[in-house]
Amino acid sequence: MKRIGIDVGGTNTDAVLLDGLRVLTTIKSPTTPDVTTGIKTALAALIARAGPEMREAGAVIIGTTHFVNAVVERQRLNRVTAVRLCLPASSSLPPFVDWPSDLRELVQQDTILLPGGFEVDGREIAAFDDRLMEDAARRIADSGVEAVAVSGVFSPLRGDHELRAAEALEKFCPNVSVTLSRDLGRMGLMERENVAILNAALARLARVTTKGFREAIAASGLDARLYLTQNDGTVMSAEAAERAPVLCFSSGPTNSMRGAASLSGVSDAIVIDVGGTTSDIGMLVNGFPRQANGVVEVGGVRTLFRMPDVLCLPLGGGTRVHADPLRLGPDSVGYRLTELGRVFGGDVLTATDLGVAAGRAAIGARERVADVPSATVRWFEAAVASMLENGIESSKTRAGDIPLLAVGGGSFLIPPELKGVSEVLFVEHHDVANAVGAAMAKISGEVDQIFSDVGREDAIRTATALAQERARDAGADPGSIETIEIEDLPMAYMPGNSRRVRVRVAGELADV
Amino acid sequence: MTITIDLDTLRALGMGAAVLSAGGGSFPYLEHLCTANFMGDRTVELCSADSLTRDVRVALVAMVGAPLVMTERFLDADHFVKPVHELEAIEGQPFDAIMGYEIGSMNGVIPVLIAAHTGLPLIDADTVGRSFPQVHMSSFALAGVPMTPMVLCDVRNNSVLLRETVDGRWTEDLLRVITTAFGSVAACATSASGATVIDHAIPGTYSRAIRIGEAIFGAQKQRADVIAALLDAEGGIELGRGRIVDIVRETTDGFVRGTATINDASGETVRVHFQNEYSVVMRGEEIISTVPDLLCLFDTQRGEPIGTESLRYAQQVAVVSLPPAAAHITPRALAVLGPRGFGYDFDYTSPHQTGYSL
Repeated sequence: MKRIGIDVGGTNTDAVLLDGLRVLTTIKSPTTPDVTTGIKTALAALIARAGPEMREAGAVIIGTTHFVNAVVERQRLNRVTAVRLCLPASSSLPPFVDWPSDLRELVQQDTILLPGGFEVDGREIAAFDDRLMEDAARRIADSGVEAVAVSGVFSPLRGDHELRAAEALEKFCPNVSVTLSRDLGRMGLMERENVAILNAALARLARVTTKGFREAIAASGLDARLYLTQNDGTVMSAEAAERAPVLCFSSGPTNSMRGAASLSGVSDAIVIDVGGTTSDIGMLVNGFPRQANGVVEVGGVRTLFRMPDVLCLPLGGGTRVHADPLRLGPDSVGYRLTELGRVFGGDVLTATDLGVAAGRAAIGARERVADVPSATVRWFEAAVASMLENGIESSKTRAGDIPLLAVGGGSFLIPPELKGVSEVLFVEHHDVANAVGAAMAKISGEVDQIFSDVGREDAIRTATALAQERARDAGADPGSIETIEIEDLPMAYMPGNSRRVRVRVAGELADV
Repeated sequence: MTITIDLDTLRALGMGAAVLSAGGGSFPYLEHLCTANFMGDRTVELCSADSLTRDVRVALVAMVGAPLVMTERFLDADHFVKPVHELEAIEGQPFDAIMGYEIGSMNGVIPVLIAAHTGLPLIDADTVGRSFPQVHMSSFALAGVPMTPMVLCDVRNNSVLLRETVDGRWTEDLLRVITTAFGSVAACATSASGATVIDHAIPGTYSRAIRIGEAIFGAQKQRADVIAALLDAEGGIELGRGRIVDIVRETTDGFVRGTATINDASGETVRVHFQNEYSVVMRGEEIISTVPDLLCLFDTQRGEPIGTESLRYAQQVAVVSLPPAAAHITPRALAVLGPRGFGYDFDYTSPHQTGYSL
């Protein structure tokens, strides 16, 4: 199946047409404040270049930072009522308690705590109270709030109380968008609830954005299904993304890593994406980015859910090189590189200028850096190598030398030989790796559950079967589903030799 | 000198309690948040054990159960103060002061919440001085002080009175059964006299935790070396620094046992063995520091202690040994708290006694 991948970045919107894993056409166009127009323009440019082949594309897959930017910028969010099923437990720290005050004021409508939730062994903390839930649902309907986030104690283990709350909300306030914490987050009530509230706060924007994307596709005359890429390097249908916009938060680094894997054919490697201001370093394991295990703050809110583990270093093409004493960054001229950089006629010495002086790239006017002393060039190369080697060592998951995939506009800054690296691979089409990563993304299923009194093998087998079922339900071709990640953490203090098992699987998009 | 615990001291205490947990936990984020929210402008007086009179009545308090469950069922002031009031009702007399049973991680912070709720002073002492995995390792258990009567409350209206137990092992076994039935979290209180506290508690542990936390936050603020600040404040010794190159974990009998291997900058291999908490540090084949020394691993990039559950491949760490409490290195205490008490076939080794330095 031919697919179109689109990456909506801060500066550029990149689009590629792929046949299988083969890159047919690529284009770059500027990102517009209104995302839809940018996508229309990108699709039009791609059609102009690729010709009739474009009509065969069965899927358009979009990676966007639109949703995470809305949270970071405190823009375009709707208000949310948080319902927590927990009483008599967990009432001391109410929903929104650790949010930055500006975001809380913008988002918090109401908080409602009700009896319910579960113990770690699956018993009810208290029975679900239909009557109190009905009262709450009526109060929500009367308030006119657009979205509700429902959380329950230990809902990743047993989610039935959250589901009963959803039924009541559907009945008494059918027009309110409902997010259940069990669908998005992991163990840890506060962080999971925060994820659910952020998701609910994006309900309106998600609806408007996916509608805009669909319109852009229709306006281009394509008959293609729409998918959005998510944090773990897989895709979800536009309908699923509309319900779970938080899962798109970290599409950028994820797509560039997935694209690097596809373009190089290497599935276990370090990936470094060198942009204008920073370098993102991540680990590819079985072709997917390794996931972060701990708390990740988004816009000042603690969250714990699927996010890639990415290390960000202050090295980009626009990073300034200071003299007396010689110092690399951390400041950057950013998108003004092509105006301020020496080789472009400006008078700021940047990493790109040093890269040109070192003969790493032929960009701009080389004679404009002829006066840079060779000692400075040697210092620069050593400084870059040491910064990257340190970052690589921190990102590795095992000992030994591994391949490095170099992508992004500034990837020429990466030295061809580095400690801890078996070989540095500069991949073709590296400047549109994000869009390629979007186009080739698979569809996934995940399980994160505590097992008690079950052996390791049985626990993993049960979790894997459930994850496969979830991937199939999400639209994966059953024959192509593979296990991407298995994590198994024994837990102290818990009854009956407990272990927490996390399994992720993914498969190709099924032809419909 | 009396210390008044306000919100700044509370935060330092939380960080110090994470260090004193010796790998048993990290900064108790939720418990700190709950306690700080409850306190607001309130403060708690910290009074030294030797300022007590022998006839005062002290409530010993703790959370008993699985720390992981506390990430779903949050610490609650009313729930945790309940066993204190029930004991008062049973014994027919009010308490004069609150004392923590074990300073490590969240159990260092919870007694502050209870003290703030009851308005009673908090004693600058506990019965462990750190974290240990089992009840019979407390200084009260070692001295043969009975841990009864003990009241355990769950978050509903269930409460259990342990009127009498044969010994610490029985207390441990009964606690496990009751706590599991409660949902793996129980609020626990026992009573002790001022005399028992003066004779058998480990003194100065709260002020120690606060001092450690203040040293760490102070160094973080000045972007100075956190480890150096800690060693300086506590007479600690650094036993290695480098990346974790291997981690092995296994669960047996409800304990997570394992080993972290670190490539020290000197080229030597440093191994840190753990059993819920860090128990032994080796350089090459040489045993350098063992329990009851307070062993800690620090994330050198963030300047914070790492619990055994959060150890990860490739983390950049420093291995630190802090001196143990004086009460932990008597021959009688060492038989239980030394390496043999944890199933190793070697004796207590400490750089604080041998004068070892890198």
